[in-house]
Amino acid sequence: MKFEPRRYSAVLLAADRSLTARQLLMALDCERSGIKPVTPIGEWSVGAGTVRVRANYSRSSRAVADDDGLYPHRVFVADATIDGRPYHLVASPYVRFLAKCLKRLDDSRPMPLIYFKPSMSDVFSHFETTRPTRLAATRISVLMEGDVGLEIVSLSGRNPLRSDLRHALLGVASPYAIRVKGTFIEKRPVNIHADRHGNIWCHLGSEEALINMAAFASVMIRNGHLAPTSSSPLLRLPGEDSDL
Amino acid sequence: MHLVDAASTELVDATARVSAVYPLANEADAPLPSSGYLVFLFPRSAQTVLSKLTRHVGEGIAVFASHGLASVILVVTGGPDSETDADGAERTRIDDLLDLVDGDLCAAEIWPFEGETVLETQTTVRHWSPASAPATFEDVEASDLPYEVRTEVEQFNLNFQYFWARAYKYCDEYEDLAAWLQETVSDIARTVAAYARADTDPASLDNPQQHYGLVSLLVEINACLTMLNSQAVGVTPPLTQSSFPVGEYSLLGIGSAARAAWRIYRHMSDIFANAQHLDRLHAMRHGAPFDSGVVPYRFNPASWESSPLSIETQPPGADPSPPRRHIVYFSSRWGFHQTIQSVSLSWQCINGNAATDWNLLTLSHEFLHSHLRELLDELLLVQDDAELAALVEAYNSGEPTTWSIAAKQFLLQRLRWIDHGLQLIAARDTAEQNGQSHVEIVRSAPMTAEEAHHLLRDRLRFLEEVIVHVMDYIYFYDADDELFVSSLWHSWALVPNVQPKIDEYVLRTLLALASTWRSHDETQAFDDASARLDSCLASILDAGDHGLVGLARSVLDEGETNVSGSGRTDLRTRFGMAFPLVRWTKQFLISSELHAKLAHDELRVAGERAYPIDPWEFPDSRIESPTGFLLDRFRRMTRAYENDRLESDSLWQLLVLI
Repeated sequence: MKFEPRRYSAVLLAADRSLTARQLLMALDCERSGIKPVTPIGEWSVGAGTVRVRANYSRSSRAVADDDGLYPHRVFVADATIDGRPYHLVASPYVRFLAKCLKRLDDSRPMPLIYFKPSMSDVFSHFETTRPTRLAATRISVLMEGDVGLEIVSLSGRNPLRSDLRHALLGVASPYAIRVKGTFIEKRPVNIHADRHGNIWCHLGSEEALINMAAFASVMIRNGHLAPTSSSPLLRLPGEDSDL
Repeated sequence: MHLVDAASTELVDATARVSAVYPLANEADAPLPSSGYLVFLFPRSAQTVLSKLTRHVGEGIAVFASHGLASVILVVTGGPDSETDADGAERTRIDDLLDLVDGDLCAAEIWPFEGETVLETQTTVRHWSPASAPATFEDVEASDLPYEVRTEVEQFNLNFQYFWARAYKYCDEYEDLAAWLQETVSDIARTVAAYARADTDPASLDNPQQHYGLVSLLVEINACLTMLNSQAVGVTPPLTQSSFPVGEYSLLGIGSAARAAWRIYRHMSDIFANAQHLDRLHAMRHGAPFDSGVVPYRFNPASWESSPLSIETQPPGADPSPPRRHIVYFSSRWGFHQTIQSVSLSWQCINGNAATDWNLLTLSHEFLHSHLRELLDELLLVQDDAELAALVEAYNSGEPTTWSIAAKQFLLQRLRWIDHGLQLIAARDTAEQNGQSHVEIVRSAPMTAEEAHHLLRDRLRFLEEVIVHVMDYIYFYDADDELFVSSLWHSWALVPNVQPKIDEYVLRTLLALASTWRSHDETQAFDDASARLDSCLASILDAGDHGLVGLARSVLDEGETNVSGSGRTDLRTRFGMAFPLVRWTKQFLISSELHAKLAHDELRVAGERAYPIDPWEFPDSRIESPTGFLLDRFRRMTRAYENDRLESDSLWQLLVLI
């Protein structure tokens, strides 16, 4: 099927011998015959497949349901070995679908899936102190813990991490999420979002734009900003209420 | 020894010992197998061990949880199924299971059984070394102390040895309590040794009252420590040789419930100690006054905002004092209660903390009383006539010269107004009975020592309650009206003394809610707070009948409509007299940084469900803010009679915290 621009949600997983990219794509209900490698992006090799689900939230009018009322969509698993450790970046347009499939996969294994979640303090510190390159923080969200009536406060701008307002909040708020502008391909920049639970998401205009998400993951891995967890980042989602 | 697998914890015969255990998965509800092993695990962290074992339920292994220090129990079906490993050593399935949680255990006790009989000669206990060498404590020297002190200190030494010998093995998070107890009793012993010897007759002392005050502190420490010895460390391996003297927990005890209570208390205690509010308040004492003072008998809260000094703005010292601890235990006699040395929780919380009526977060209220007492002691503590005279002189001195004198004047003036309000109401009642329409109370402008003594003795409690309610509402309930009101009024429903003084309880709630009102207009503050309280009380009543809440609502309605100001429930008048105290607390004693530290938890999620875990799920990392977690749980609680998994959910709430 042809790629449709959509918002994609992703999680980062530890790879092991019992968890290959192909197995992951099959766990995401991709048809075996439809699993194909796509053009590698940087140090990440990428596999893609097509899954069919009942819902279609795409803004595109080109999406067409099959005879069973299912809509096809592309899912990706990118692989990289960084500093000697293998990783999978798993991306799907439907976050509930992703959560459901990964939960099912986790339940079927003797050992839990290992996800990675960022230390958002470290990520903030990284983007505050490094020169903007092709990844630059353009919005930060902090969880207000010492101010009644407020929960999340977001600051956006050229560099919100260096703003006086952000520093005034240090004692009463904790880093929660970040939006990073990625400019790895010569089209529109891609806004990559990540929260401290390990959820990553962005609007992908093309398959190639996945490089921005992968490059952001590489930065977090290389700089030691990630911690392993067996609690799925997708736990944050409210209860399953979809038939995806 | 025989095993009896029963649906309830009722004693099957007089010699039986019982404890309820709860399966991690519903399918583990099956009866005991015909033969196998009971493996009692004593975890360092129940949450970690249960998180790791969750996926091993099934395949002949059932996992249960209990309130005891042995909080995890494995039922392994069949024989040992041993095999030989690469080194030639024989290994069993139990070895494999223990390996999974190796490093997370203090001890494991293994009971093989056949039919209903435990093969007692084959039971084994394994211990794992503590992560670090245990602290060592010397006995407190008592030999040359007067009899009434010596006996208490000697009793303490024995109680303490019993406590620490077990706590360091099975719950070493009590180490700082142990250090604090040892230091406190040593201090008392040294104090007594400075003025008395073994043959001193207490009647001959200069100040026998002070002497017996010290004795009473020792008596209380011993009483509470024996309670803790029983509850926290009373049941340790071998289980066959120890028991807990409360029938329904007599087999395994309630050690893990006690550990959870300690974890909640310790979180509060550590955060408050690190914030150094007492030190900050002490450092502020010579600073500029925040107001021009009692002349002409009115403070000006609008001017306080320009005051540069407050607990928040005063920088902390370089060397924080260690936390001042309390002994924390469950009590069916005291319920939620605090004293100088202890904080107790309602016994019913062990089995019912997942219901609104027995919310563990109520502990915050008791904790705040002890925190506030330290702060008020800094400003108002009077130990003799000379100190009382100095306090009165500060009040009568006119324009204050320091922050501390302004605070003393303000607090004494608030006490005076609180007293005035109560006297006015009493005088109105009398006048009404006598058919009079006018009441006047005249008070001399300078305060006398007698009046100050009366205010500190009889009215300080109400002032404390107002400040504690404001702190509780902001720090622990995130100024969430519905949760705060629901928690307060569900817990008060179970206290017999509330109904006769219900107007006072309504007033306290109103004043707490008014702490988020930004303007200084007390009339508007009252209108706003009463509308919000009425809405919250109506929500509780919508969920079901609640006698006390219905009564509170009628008191509130009466107070609202009775604007002319007569009658015992004239809430407006009393609210107006106490409202400046709320403003003062908010301006000078509340710290948003401390609030943030209490709530901080990387597990916390933005949105309605702050902790996205349900009963019997265990995250793979520690809950950093037990109070934040409990608040989130309270949001999702139901009344006790509406929750048919109350006991099970309550146990989970305890174990997930330790």
